Amino acid sequence: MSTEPRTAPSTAIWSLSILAGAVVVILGYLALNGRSPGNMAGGFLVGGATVLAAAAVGRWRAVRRPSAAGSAARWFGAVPDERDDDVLTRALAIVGYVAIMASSLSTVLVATTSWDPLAIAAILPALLLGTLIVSFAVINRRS
Amino acid sequence: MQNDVRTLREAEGRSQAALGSVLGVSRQTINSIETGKYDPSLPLAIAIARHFRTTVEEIFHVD
Repeated sequence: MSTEPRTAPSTAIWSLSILAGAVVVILGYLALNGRSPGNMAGGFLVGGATVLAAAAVGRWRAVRRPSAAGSAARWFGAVPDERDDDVLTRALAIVGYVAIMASSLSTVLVATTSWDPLAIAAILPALLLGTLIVSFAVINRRS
Repeated sequence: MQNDVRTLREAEGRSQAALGSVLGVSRQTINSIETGKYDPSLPLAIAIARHFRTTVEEIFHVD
């Protein structure tokens, strides 16, 4: 029995994944542009581009400078090891707890207040993403 | 769990990054194992024991 050394997915596969992500971001922008309130389309575009850029940087750090790459960089670069898996699993568990509570609370708020349901719905992804980032950082630091 | 990974690694004259490279994990994982913050999976624990030519029980000790 031995651990399988983690090898980076081929550059072609990774590049295709990034390209698919870029297509999703562009299609999302086109779908939201003119149909969504405020600057939601622009925000979607910027957020998606930021994630793709982070994936590219993470890939570069994880493959070219593995000794300097952190857990997040290895995840973005698609070369996590078992500890990185553990950190993300535990962080996603916390996100799950928060998601259950936040969605329940948002349902109550929509039903009992005059708050804009769209605004409440738009806050949920940001809340969950923020929870993931913070919990990942804390768990990574402590384990 | 407490373990003797650091002692064995230093006796071998290897860096954390070098040991991680041999075992297929990151330097960060080796550091977390050595400081007791992370318990390795069974396959990794066995791989560590085989690398140092000893047994899992000799390296890892229950607190």
